[in-house]
Amino acid sequence: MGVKALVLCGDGINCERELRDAFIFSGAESKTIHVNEVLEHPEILRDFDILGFPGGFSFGDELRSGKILAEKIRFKLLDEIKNFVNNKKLIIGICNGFQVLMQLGAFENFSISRQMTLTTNDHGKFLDFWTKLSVEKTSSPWFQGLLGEELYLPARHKEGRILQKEKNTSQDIIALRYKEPINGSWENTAGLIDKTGQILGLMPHPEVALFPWLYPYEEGVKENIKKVSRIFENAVLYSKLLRSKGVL
Amino acid sequence: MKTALVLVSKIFPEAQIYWIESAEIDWKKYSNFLVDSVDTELWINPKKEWLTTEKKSLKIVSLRPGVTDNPAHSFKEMLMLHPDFSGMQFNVYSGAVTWGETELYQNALIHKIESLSTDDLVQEGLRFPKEVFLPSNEGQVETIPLLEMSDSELVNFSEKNFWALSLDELKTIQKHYAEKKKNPTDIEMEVFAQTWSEHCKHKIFGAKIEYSDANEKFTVDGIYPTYIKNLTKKLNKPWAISVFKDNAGVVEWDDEQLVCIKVETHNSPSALDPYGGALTGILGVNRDVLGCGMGFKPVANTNVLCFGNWDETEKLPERLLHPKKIMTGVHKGIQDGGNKSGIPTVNGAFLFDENFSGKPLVFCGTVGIAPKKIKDMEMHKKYAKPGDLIVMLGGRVGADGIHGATASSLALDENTPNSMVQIGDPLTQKRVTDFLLEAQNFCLYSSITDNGAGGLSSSVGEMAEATNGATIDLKKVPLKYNGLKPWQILVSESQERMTVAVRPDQAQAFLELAQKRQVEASVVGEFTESGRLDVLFAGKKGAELDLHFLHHGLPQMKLKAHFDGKKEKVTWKKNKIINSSLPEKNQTILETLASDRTLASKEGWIRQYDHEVQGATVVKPFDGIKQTAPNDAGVIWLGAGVNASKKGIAVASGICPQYSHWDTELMAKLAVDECVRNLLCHGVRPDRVALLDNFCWPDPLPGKNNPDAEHKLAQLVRASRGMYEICLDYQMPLISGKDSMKNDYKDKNISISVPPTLLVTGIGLVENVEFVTRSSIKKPGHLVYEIGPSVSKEYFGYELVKHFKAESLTELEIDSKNIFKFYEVLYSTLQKNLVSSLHDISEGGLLFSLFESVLQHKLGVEFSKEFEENLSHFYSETPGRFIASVLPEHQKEFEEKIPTVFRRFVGLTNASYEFKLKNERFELNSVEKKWRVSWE
Repeated sequence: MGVKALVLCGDGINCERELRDAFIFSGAESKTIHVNEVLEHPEILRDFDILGFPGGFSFGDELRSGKILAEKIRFKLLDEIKNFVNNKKLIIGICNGFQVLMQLGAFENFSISRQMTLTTNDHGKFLDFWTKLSVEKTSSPWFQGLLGEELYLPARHKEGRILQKEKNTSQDIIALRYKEPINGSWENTAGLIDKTGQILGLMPHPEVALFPWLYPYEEGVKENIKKVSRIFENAVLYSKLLRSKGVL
Repeated sequence: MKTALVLVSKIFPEAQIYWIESAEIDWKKYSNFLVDSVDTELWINPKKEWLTTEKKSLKIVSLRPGVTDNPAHSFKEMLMLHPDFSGMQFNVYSGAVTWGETELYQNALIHKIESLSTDDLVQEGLRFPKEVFLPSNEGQVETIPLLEMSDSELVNFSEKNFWALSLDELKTIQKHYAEKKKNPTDIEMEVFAQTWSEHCKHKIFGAKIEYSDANEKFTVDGIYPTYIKNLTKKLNKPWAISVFKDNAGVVEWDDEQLVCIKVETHNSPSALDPYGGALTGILGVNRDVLGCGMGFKPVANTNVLCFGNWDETEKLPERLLHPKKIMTGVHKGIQDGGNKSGIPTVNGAFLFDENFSGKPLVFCGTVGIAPKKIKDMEMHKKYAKPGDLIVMLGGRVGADGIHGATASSLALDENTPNSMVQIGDPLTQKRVTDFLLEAQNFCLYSSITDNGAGGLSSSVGEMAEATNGATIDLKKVPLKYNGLKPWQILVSESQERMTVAVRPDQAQAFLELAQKRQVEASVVGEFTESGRLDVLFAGKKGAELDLHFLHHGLPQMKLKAHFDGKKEKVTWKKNKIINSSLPEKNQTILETLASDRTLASKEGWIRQYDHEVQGATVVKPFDGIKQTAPNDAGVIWLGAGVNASKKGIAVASGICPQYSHWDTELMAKLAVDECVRNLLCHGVRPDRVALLDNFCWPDPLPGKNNPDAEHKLAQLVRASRGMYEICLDYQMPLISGKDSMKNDYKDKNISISVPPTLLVTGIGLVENVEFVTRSSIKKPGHLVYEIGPSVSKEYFGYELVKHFKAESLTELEIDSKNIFKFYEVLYSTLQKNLVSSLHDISEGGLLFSLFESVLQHKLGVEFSKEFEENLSHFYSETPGRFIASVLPEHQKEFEEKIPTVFRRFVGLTNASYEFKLKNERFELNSVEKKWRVSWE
């Protein structure tokens, strides 16, 4: 049986199609399932190898982005998610999905009292533009073979600035950095990895950078697509290996 | 117990307020649940805490009773998620407070704004918002003594009730009821007022018009049948598969999918509440698409916005908001409408003119796609049968938006009802959209339409035509609160609602899925074949409307139109601007034009829209790695997520109201051409272009305060005829359209009318999204051409005349047959990949357009000796022209393809970022600086 990716939808999520397809293009079976359906039957998570939190405007970004969907998940699905991680499986949250993971405390052992958050950009605005990023030296299945590489992705958000309570927080969790400051994020961070390396959260959108005709420019597009595809292919390869090892 | 929870930002000088009415709760225990302590503090019923703001006075903004409160709804939904609170009741009201420089978005019509001193807050705390007490007793159906009314009583009664019906129409209804020997109910009269409103019936476009001017005299038996429907019929394009009969026009250009498009206006609501008006404009046109055929998925939004001058210094009447404020609010509405719904905003424009100060024009468009067929159902058709249930879903019904349809048929004045103003709820609509597209897959409904103007009365009334009857029970309609009169329930325009027909044996499955997806759905009646629209209330008949009379009984309006001739522009402004004399240097002219707000960069605004959600936007508003160069159209990939299709849909617009005072015929032709050119820039097939017309006019109906009504109506006839003629020459059908005929502000002292405006929106087929052309010239050493018909020498462009003492406009001719021949040649040249970039020449003329073309890569152009350098060549806005760049190795082939009459060699690009003319050389950094004007 092939690798299976579950991509959540509903409640104002709106990038589920792109994320589902990104996994399909990388050889996985991928399905979008409504959040309510998953909450009603949390055990369906066990059938999947990868869990995706897509971008969007869950609950209209009211209160703060990602917050209400995170609470919805916390009360009914968090145990299954923790098991999912304990079973060495992979999770990705993009943009609003990253905000949900952040609110769930996914990068701090799912702790309720967190040291960091995603807050409003220093310029206070939602902006849409393509930006240059670098992959940091972290150990994560998501970035196998990509460490130190540079890539272009579109960023489209208002609350993408990482804020730390403590100044001297370890930078080991930084997976992606903006090459130039775009929103006042801590250490120009665009994406984080949890300490297992299995949970990836990032503000820019890799799932829409897989076709040359969706780029606003021409030079170096092929190479960029190769790198971006690698992120999803890594996840599928890793999951395949995990299955063959019989960890499941 | 009543609690004020204040979520105080640690970063910005502001806080969110949630007033909560609930059972006893120790809120402190839940602070981790309520706030993110990294950047937010929680204050519970704060008093002395306010001292920490160190401000003498704080501004508190809350919503007026009855206004949609999205933050409160979401907050309440979150509270209900907590296991500790299960089964508890909560009433939540939201607000915001600021003590810094940042101005919270606010509008006195929907917000309560209080400035409170810190001392007051410390002593008394936050006051709980006043509860709304509505009469709990139900309204009754009332009979209107129509048969007993005299003519003047009829007119007065109609005015008092905001029905906007004419005497002729009222008498037609009176006669109808005289034959039935009974008086109508208030419900029946309201349904007539909605259905027969200008907004719903387009009476002016159907009117019989006697036209005259100095040279000719003729009769138009309806502008719509003569110039619009007739055109599309004549062109007889087999791919235009559903035109003018549904919520949107549908075309078939792909083997798998259908494409539909609709453009609406939301001018009056945006004048009163710019944010809510634009937001509901976007959400409303999204619903048009969702309610087209069996339901199309919205895949792209467009918007064209016309405002008064951003820098307006002259005092405006009290009721009018400053253009700056309108633009800021409208922009935020467009942003939330698109971004929060997950629909990319791919194309648009901003225009400024002092005559848009009375009413802004807010055009909102949406492109939708649907598979051709699901099971046996063709998606551009509808399948309701007698016996199908009427199901209303989405938002509940409240007093909001009552009389939107009729009020948009009246001028804005001191008496305009505030119930016209409402806020949209993108989350509810997104849930409705997701649910319907899911239900569509299982064919759980048989017909669908949106609830827009006129509410249920229009949606059910229109759907009832298919089966020839419907019964609706108003008691079954879910309400936001008690106290609504029966007719109000029927005509309310509360947002986010759709109406569908469901087969009785599928009702359970439909309603269960709705419940699972948290979408409220209610069976409110059934479709019949009675020939009537029957309305029940509390078991009794509240209305019994003859459907045939309702839809076809409206008498045709008879009007006179007389064209007084071409006129100079008139404005409401007292201070006349005196133009400076024409500078000697082209640099100075170009810098002035570039900083004109209509031409200047709007990057800062546009970037706040999400252009690429759904992962299908091929051509985005800006081009290049730094994404600074403006493109001409948006292109959406049709195959995204569905199949291997490389086809794409381009969407663009054209609008030229600056020419209207002179001649609307010219204005209309220029608008069509501009739209078409914008499409062609990105490689659209000229034989696969469909157009939409949206007319926004100053009042053309005769009246005591409207002395030049006949001239304005003549302008409408001329514009329509012009549009017809050029569309016929271009062989491009019109597939949908809308008109808005009362774009005036009037009070005792002043009258401000918009210039007659036609927005032309176009969609066109791109055969392969891998090979679209774009606007930016890519490299030094490329050849630059001006292509298209040559400029008429005596003509100076509008922008030049607007800013400087230059000769006024002389006649501008459009040889549309000739231009179209050129477009066909151009397309075949693009097919051979002989053109490296293509950008249209419109406002500002050739130099400005060339500047936009070189901006991305900061290239320069050395003008060739053969290029004729003169004012008209540099600044003319003669239509049909482009800036094309060509690789040196393609020069020969390119010149063989494009005949000499259609091309002028401009020069070669170089790496210098400057223009080198014969007698003048200037760098473009200074032009770019002016172009990036400040919007503070």
